[in-house]
Amino acid sequence: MTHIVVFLGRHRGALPDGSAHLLSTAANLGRATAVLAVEGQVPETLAEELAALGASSVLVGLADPTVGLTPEVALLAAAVEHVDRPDAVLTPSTVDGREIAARTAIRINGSYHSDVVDLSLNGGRVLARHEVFGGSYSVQSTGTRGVPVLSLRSAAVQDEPARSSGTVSVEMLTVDPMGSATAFRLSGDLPESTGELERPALGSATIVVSGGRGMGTAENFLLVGDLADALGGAVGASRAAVEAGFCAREAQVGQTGAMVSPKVYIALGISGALQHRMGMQTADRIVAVNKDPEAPIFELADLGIVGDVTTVVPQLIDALRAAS
Amino acid sequence: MTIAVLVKQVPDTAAARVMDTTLMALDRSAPGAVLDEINERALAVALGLKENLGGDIVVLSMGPEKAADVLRRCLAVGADSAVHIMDSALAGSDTIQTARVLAAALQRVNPDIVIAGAESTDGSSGAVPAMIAEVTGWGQATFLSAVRWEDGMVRGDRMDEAGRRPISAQTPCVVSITEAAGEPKYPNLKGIMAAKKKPLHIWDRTELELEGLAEGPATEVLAVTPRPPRTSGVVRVDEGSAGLEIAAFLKEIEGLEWRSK
Repeated sequence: MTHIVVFLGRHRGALPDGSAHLLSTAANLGRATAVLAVEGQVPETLAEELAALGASSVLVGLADPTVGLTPEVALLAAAVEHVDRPDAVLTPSTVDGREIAARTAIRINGSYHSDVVDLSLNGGRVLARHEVFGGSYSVQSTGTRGVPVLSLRSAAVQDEPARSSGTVSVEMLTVDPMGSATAFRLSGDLPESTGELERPALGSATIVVSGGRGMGTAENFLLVGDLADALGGAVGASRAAVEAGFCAREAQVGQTGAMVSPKVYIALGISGALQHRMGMQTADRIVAVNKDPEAPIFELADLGIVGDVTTVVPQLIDALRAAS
Repeated sequence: MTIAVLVKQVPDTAAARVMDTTLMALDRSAPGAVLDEINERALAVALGLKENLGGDIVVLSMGPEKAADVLRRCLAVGADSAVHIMDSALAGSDTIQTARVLAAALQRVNPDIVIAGAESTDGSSGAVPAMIAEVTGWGQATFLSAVRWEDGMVRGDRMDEAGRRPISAQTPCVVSITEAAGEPKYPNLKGIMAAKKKPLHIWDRTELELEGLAEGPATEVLAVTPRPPRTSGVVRVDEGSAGLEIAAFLKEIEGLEWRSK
């Protein structure tokens, strides 16, 4: 039976985001062994929580909260050895998850498959599907030797959790903290939020509202945030808006910024340069508002409005607020 | 202080990029290849560190003959020497093979700090800097929005999904930077002239004692399929109620839930 080792991330008082999607993806293909790096106490309900998400077994290791990445890599390599030739190793496709996967692939002499959209089985081999060049191409890859390590892109829509049958127990793996050089040390307790409000992260948000140079002024650009907040979405921007100083570079969506794939992408005053389209064209639905009827963004839009963002957006916000 | 900067020639993001669906690879000989912009930022960060700390900047690139263009550009912008890793047997390398080759070259250069872009605009896997740190056992300070040198350590803010976290790493150290770090510098005529006198070394597998790297890539591409182009939906001119129309459109999307703040 196919056996997949699933690294969920660090447990800092709660299961890491995306655990359900990772475990259901693995459990739908075979047996899933969940691996967690835990800071502090291992929660008593952990086995039960993870069984409900499809895990057949659980391996945990303790992680020093001040050391980044290398404890996870040591734990994951130990888990691969413990399971004895799993068919694949999955990690979340986050900044940490991708680098943990990359280092683990080197350490266990396997193959690495980055930002996988979905995986399937063919004749006992795990096949990974990726989207490249902003979703312009779909690429299928497989490993030629060793255990394939895949980082899996989070999905807004989750599969039905596949509850595992039988009892699931939590096994502690002891890993040698000196087994590898320390990648880096973390100082400061919690990440500082990059936004003024608690907005969802751009890369994994269900709804993204982005503004371009067509917003006109930094003051008008605040409407982008207002609409994002009315929808509980993330704020993005075109490169032109960043360069005009309307918002921070962290918000940039496009080939040289964040690549997003939300359920809904709302482009306000964005003309739709190729560079930008590459970062958002895989969104499920695209809404665009621009005063220029020739703007290339309209070629992608499911709903395009030729109009003034300063009148359309406030009306939209009022309508959303009134409905909720 | 020796600072190594990893650079890569990539297809221009301002033009449509094409994959060869028969070869199942990116055609790197295609016109319009440029220095990846994130590498220009990496070089700018290196130049900033050199200004304060002194030392030498070595730029490295692995790629076909044409990759020498981006190395010359880096020399013109202020790097002191360049290493071009060129070997036809390395064409079609995956991230693991690329990292092993670059790690071998870097071990010869023996830098205090290695600076790379966090993600290239073509492969976008963001894996190679972490892999080099794993192979070499050096420190790793990646996805930094700013790079500082303090008390003999590399310090900076690591950007992840949750925001920024201050981190520090011992040298030698592999650093990767995000779009927020460094402003690209452009070559001037004086720099271009000076670059002609700077050393550009060409290394192959024999030079790097990597003949044993005969296993080839650990990944195999099975299929490349172009995505059907997106078709446009309805485009309407606002007649005073477009905001209401968008609200109605959003309400009709199945499974979409939102929570106002």
